[in-house]
Amino acid sequence: MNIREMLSPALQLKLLSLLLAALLWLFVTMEKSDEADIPLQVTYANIPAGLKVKTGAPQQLSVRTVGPRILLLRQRLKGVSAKLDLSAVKEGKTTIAGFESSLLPVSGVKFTRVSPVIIEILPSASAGASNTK
Amino acid sequence: MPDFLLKTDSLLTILDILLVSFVIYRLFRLVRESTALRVLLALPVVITSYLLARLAGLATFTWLLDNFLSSLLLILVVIFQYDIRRAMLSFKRGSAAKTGEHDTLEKESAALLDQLVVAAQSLSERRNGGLIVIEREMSLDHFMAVGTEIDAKVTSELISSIFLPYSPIHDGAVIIQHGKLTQAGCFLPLTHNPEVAKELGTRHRAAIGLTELVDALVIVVSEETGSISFVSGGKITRNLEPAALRKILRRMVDSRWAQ
Repeated sequence: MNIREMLSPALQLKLLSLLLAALLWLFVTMEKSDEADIPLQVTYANIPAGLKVKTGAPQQLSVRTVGPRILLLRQRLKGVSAKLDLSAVKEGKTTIAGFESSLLPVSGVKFTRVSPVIIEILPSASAGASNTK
Repeated sequence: MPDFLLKTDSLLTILDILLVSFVIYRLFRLVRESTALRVLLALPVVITSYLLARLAGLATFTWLLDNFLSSLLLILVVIFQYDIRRAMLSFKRGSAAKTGEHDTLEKESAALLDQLVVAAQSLSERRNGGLIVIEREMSLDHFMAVGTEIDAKVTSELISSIFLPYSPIHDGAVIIQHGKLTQAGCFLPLTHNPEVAKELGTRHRAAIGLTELVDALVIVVSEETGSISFVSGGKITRNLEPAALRKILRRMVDSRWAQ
């Protein structure tokens, strides 16, 4: 007896059972709590006139997220971004820290850590004035 | 691909899904013939909807489905209570059969079944309608409230006389419990299955209706054609010869139920 003959008496029923089992597995797996690193997109705002942030400044960081996998997936699809206010910076090396508290996760997800914890930027004088990046 | 899918152990996942799939398949087989199957078919839609709603952040719809899924086990138990009970009883029956504890009762059981076959044949020849219910594991007490208590030994003559047209208790069913004819003139619930053949009358519909609810076996003799039918699990086997009826009864009736 080949596989086709073996499955034929209740093929649809077996496939439906398999589908339902796979969906149940997906449901259970997606509801399990997990942690994942999600890229954190950083944008700079209110850059003082006459300054520019050098290329090479960290544009993309990562944030450690904890929560049900389905919500982590949602968070990943939605993305995480931070807008850093540079209105107080001056020319030269500047470190920015503690901005993770301003990040807003989707309901049910927690941000536990931002990596790197400190951002170092190097604003320098530019020929043209600009208010944003 | 999401990270967690890569993290899971493939072999264990496949084994997990196959095991659950097997359990679901057995459940499907159990309820396949009933309308409960439609309820079970809705589950993939509900689960998919839930996951998509959660992913999309639809809070109210997620809440609705979340509460539904939380109570799902309870809901399934309520919907499938008869099927679950039937399944449990079939396990019990299987294990009892292995022990061989009822082997000594075979002869008495066969004699009882012979009486039923002779009664059905007699009713058929005289064109007298008949409805004989044999109780198995599931109690028929709920359906006996209206009937007349008899509590007599099962004989073909007794059954034939009950179903004589001028007998005051010929309308309704006789019920056989533990090898005794305990009740006559009982009214049974009619089936609501739209797929039942239109030419079947109330007697046949009552037999089908009862066996949809409990695991009893029913012999029906048509008043119009004299044909003998056997009903079990909501399924009817029509136009049976007495020999075929005897064969089915011997296969279906455990000797314990006839005692």
